[in-house]
Amino acid sequence: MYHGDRFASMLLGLPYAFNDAHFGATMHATVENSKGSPHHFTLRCAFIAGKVIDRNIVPDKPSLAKAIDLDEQMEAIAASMPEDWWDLPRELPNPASDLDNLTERLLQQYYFFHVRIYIHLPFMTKSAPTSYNISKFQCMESCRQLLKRYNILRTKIQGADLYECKTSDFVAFTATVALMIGLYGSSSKPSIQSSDKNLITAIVDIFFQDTRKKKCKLLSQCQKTIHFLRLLNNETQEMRIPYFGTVVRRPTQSFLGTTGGETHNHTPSVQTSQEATTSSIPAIPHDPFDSYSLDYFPNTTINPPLGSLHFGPNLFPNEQSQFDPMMVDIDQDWSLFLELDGVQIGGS
Amino acid sequence: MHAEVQRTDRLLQLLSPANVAMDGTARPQTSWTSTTGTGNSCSPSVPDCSMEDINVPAIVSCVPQAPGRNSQSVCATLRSLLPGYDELVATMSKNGAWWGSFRQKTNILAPTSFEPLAAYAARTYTSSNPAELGILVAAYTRSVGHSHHLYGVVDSLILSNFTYAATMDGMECLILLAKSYTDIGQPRRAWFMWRRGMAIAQLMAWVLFITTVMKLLLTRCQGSLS
Repeated sequence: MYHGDRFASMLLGLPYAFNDAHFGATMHATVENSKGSPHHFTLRCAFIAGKVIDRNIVPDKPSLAKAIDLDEQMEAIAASMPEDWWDLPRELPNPASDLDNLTERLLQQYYFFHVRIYIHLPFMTKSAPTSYNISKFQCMESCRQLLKRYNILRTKIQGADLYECKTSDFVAFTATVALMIGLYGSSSKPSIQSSDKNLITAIVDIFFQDTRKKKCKLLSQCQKTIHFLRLLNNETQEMRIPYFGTVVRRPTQSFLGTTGGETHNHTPSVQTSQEATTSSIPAIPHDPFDSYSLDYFPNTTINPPLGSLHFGPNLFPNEQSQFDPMMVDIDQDWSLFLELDGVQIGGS
Repeated sequence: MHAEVQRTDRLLQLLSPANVAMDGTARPQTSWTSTTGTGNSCSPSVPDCSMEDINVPAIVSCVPQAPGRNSQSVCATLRSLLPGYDELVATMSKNGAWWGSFRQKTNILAPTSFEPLAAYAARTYTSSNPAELGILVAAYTRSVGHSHHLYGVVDSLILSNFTYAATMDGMECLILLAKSYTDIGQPRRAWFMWRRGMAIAQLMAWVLFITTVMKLLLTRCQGSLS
């Protein structure tokens, strides 16, 4: 329950239930000095997650120095595990028990990189000075590592995924968006590696295949959002993502100069999850990295105000209570979260 | 005394943050202990306020059950949500691969033989323990992959009733429900569930025992690692 609360609180931007100080100094010292214990590894990650939550709850400007300090603690946590514990398998093991062990190890690492992304996410903003680049670099690298593990966890074995969890899918989606923000940010751009493009494409493919086969609304929205962010378009567009923030896509001056200011709207036809059953992934026009930029604006409030929520279909028809806006979640239409003053997913 | 310590361990492991996972479930083990052997029977008409457990607070609160409901009625309602016995066991056998990991994570301190999901279903299908049937309904819903509204029914019948929730099976039901909400993409509901579990634990003054037993766990972990 402690770990569940800590994970959900960090994801949702909510306070945690249990104060780690109540463990006492002796417990902390024992855990901090442990080596090679997966139990303690995740517990230490949870301690750091608590500090991230403490920082995110307070509406002050985050401190880069504190973020670097937290990152150094994460580095020490990583070093507490053997090097081979971090190795990614080239192929899946055969016995089921080895598969369970691998899944468990990957999930622990997944959590590690999730926490590390959240340490650095506030410094991925548009207004971040170049001194924040170290944080941006660490965030992007953590996104890559998380997505590599996600790719393995979504490997199919006899038709079923090695691990399936929609909330983890959403975490992978936000990591993909964060990676794209780092690659296509309006500040100085490094050259985009083909490995990053391939990784993003692989993740989008996972989302698309699940949308096609399972008609999953969550993954449909994830896939459409990423697709929309990659469009070549001479319009400035804004995408709001629940529990993550706002991403603004702007065409660069060089792109506008190339198109001569003419409207070249490559918006693909909007596909619902039903329509996507028979089609392939919509083709993305060639997107040189200097055609558009992505800027990130974190949520300024912990949760969207109730007034911005809209009533929708009752997902629990057997309950006598009416639709409960407090329980709107990421598996539903994201427009229920968001104020409808921007472009919705898939275009208007 | 050993049984009491074991029961304390069994209860506290459900809350122990030494367990490993990013979504609240713990490191897989190979153990499972029948709750009927170590836990308290969940019969709300006779609350378990045993004062003999001088080192362990009463697990089941003496709060009377909700008026108009008894455990038999709750069990009957939960059982009515399930398909026929044969179909239930067949579904659990086919789609119950997740059960092993879940049960191992909630039973880290009691290494006994593991009970597969189909066997658990067969055993608890006629149970008079509402919390056990709550686990069964939640497990069936998770295995079948749809009818997610059944989670809400289990929530309202079991976890909203303190008498049922504040038991070993009730807490295990809560963990299963919270994890299931996470898996179907409802982290907000999961968060409420985790928070409720923590509140129950804190209300029962288990936190003090957690820190004490955590030290015991750490000592055991260190001993097993050395």
